[in-house]
Amino acid sequence: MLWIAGLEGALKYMGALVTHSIVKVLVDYTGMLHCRGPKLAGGALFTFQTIVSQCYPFVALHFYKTSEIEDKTDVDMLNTVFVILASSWFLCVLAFLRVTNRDFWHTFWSTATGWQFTVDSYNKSNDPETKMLTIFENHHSFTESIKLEVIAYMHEHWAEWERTKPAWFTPNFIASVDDEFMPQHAVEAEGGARRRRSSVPSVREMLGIEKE
Amino acid sequence: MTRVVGKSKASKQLLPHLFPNFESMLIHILQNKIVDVGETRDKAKAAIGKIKSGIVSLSSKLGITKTNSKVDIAPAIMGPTGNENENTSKSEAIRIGKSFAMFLLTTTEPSAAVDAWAKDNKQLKDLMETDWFEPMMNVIAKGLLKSSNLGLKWRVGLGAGLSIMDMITDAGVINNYRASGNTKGAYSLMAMIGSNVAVQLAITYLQNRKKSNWVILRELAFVVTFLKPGVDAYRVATGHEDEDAVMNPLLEMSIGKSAELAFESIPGGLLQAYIFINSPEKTIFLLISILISTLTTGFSSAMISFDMDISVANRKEVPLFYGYIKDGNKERLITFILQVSEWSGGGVAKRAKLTFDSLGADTACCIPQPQPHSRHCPTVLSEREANVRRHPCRTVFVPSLQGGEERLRALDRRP
Repeated sequence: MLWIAGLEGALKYMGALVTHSIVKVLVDYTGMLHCRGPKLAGGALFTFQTIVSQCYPFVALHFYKTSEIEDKTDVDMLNTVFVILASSWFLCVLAFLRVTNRDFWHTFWSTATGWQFTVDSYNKSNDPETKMLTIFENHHSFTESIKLEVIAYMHEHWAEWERTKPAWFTPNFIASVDDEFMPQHAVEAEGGARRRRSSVPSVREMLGIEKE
Repeated sequence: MTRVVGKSKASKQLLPHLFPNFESMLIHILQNKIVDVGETRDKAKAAIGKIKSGIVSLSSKLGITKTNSKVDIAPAIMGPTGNENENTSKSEAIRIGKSFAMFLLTTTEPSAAVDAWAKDNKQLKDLMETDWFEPMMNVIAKGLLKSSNLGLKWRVGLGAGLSIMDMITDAGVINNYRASGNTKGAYSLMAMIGSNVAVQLAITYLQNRKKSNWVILRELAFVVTFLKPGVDAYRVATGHEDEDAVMNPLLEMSIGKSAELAFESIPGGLLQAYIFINSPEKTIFLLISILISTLTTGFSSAMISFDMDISVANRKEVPLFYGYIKDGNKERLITFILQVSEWSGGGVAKRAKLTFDSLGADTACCIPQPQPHSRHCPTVLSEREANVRRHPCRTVFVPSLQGGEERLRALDRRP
């Protein structure tokens, strides 16, 4: 499920409904590979929908064959065309798997949900930048289960980041972090309660519902 | 390069160890040519020379040669000089430099091109670990893309061309429907185009909300004039950076294209196919409109998936998901072609499915069709679509990139 960062309450559900409706159309009619993401259709559902889409023409042809339509097109010929198209699609899929990176094949049948994937991304990465982007670029509910772990990690490394100043550790990033994720001395150094804050662009803010 | 490295004596001494023949590589990067005409000519001359000398030596062995007074001299062959190790590394450096042009042509973002190029050439590993090489290459890539005669035009033209053509043909189809009395069809198509424009306007407004009213107005004008896809493609290709924007250009382009697919291309294509099949008048124009809609859908879908996966930022942020496309240029090209082909095969069948579903529904509801004989057309349409979609022109990458000569000349003029 995709909860859009910055949306809460009814807007959160509306945003997810619109997004998933669009994704369903895109998967059914384009097979867009990007939609297999755990926060969109998900790998397993994506593959299932794609395969079902390939089977539908044969089902539709069966109904056409048994219908009482006069002056029908040659059904056998249509069947041959569909078999050729389905076979060529299948061969393309095989060739696609052959030329792509094997390490990512599992994403085509993964049943991981959005929050499971987000937590997994955090846990499996050793790169602080990836970890921080995973936490702060996603809806907060995805990482609620590991919040304490994240706080501990950030408190432990904050001083080091202040000293080494990695490229991602920008004033904008610091402004996007909630007080609880920062060590107390860092919060005070940034101005305490009056420190500059910015969040992941909120749709409420963008629509002018909420003051920035 | 001189500006970056030449000032530092330590860097100057270190460079040969990091990558021998760095300048040779850089010259060929800046030449930015996929096909080197001069090199091809030299190779052809060398091959002809070898054949000639082979014939002469064979003739002399067989005793066919008429006079022995002539001295056979093998044609001079342009080639590398110096010791073997140096030559090998130099030719390798030239090959690596030349290969950059193809990465630049087949990748939407300059940084993604640099990343893929570096990963495809293991010899660059040490250079990539320095703090100056990757930023320098990103700047060069941006510059080459901007100065390139074809690369940028190809991207922008393709991005804008397909959408604009789609819109023009849709407008023609609406006119055609109205003229033939099919007002429901015309209004349905207008509603789809209208909803797409409305969604694009909303996305554009949200993206630029923090900017001045004039900027917002300009951006909205791009949407209503249908220039937005071209502008998006230009910004992605040139690595446009905007701190006031909500999304990065790649994400904005992907969301815009996805909305266009979901609100206009897919439903519009299906509606047109349905009306075409059931209509007694089957003009070439209506068929072309359907095919353009199909082409836009297939190509945009493949492009979004491709661009999102090879994006350096995405691979950094979500390494467990992005990265299924390998870094080699050949693999990338094949993967993209297969992505488009997969949709082509599936798309034809899906339209056929819709056609038969709709015909089945008509039959089930016992709705008499005004022109029953027109039901021949699903097959005809599907076959035509299949043939067009299989046409190699759909997935052609124009194999040429020029530009960078100015930089090369500047390099040659260096002290």
